[in-house]
Amino acid sequence: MKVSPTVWTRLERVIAGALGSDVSIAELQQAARLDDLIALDSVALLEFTIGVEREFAIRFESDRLNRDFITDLPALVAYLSERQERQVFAEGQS
Amino acid sequence: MPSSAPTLSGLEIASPDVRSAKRPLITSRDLAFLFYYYPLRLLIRIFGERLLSSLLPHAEQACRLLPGFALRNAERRIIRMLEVPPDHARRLARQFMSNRVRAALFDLQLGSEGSVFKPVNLVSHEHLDRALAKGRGVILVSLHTLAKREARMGLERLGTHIWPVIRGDERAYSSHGRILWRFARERLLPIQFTKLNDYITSSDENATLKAVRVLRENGIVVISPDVTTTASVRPVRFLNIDFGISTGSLELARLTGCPLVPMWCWCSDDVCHVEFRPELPVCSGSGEEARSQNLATLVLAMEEQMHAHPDQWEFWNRSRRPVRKEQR
Repeated sequence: MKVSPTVWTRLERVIAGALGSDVSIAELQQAARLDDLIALDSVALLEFTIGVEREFAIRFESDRLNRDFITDLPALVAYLSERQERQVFAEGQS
Repeated sequence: MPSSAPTLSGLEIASPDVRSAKRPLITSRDLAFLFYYYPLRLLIRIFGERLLSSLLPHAEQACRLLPGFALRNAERRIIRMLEVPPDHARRLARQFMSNRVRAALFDLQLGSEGSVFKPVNLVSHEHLDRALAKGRGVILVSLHTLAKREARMGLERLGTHIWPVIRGDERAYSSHGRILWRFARERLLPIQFTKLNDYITSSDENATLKAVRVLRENGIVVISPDVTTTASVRPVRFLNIDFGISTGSLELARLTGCPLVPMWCWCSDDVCHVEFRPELPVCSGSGEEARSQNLATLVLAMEEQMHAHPDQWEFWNRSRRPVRKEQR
């Protein structure tokens, strides 16, 4: 799937806002998992999850609410891109 | 109004399997356990309700025979934390020890055929109903009281299904040796934990996200903030002492917007009481000021509970790990 560059930018914004961490887009793109860049305890993981939901105006499906998926950056970005595309399509329809 | 139990298919509730190779084969606690707990439990399994009901009225008398150290320790802390006169503290400490015996007997008879459950008296249930009506789930905050397990089971019987956040079976019997640990895993933990049905373990790396899943199904999660073993503990001044309070419930409420409702549980000889208090105001801001304000609100609610039911707190005579230096 083609990943929109804005997804990485928005993700960087969430990390800075919710976790207070200064991580560049390049670092994010190179990392396989968010845990590799930032130490995430359970509250930080929740902050990040809710931050992503607010930023992208989405709500994760119940089965996606787990650490494995949320911190898997390539999978998360692909998922967010798909959700973003669906949102644009839905807005276009209406 | 009873809440409907959330159906959470695929939510794995098993806690991690932690076996420590550092454990000794057998400890002094194992011996006490094998000579005291297991025979008593066996007797209660055989005689069930009859034995239990004959034991309960004598709980207070039995407490007087307990080693003075535990009683004195509780008394000393009660005087320091609640600032009550010594004679009042002594009465409270005795009542506390009596409640401990009662709670232990309740645990012992779990799983036996003739299990005795007290009727449950719900007080101010409208606070829970009002919070549930918002449709965002409810976080119940309750101290570690001696009546917590009994109250939870009482609520289940009335149709109010709640998910407790517990420390998990990998921590239970942590001071026992390898022999009893194996025995406990096979025989005792199933009794202790299967009775809970659904729970979230705080050591689980997905604990908060599992709690979110429960809350999004408009479920109820119960969290006890008076623990010092989680990562989210913050030092506070609590009833005249330096204390560690877990802020997990506050963070969950702040980030998800779920109502935070205090729940007080206490048991008398005949009835188990569960009282719900008005929802606590939680600031949604992410700054330090909002967090401190939320913590102060929670501490106030906890202190209120301690003053209302001082003989129910589980930790009166337990050694608590001091707050780590880096958390100060």
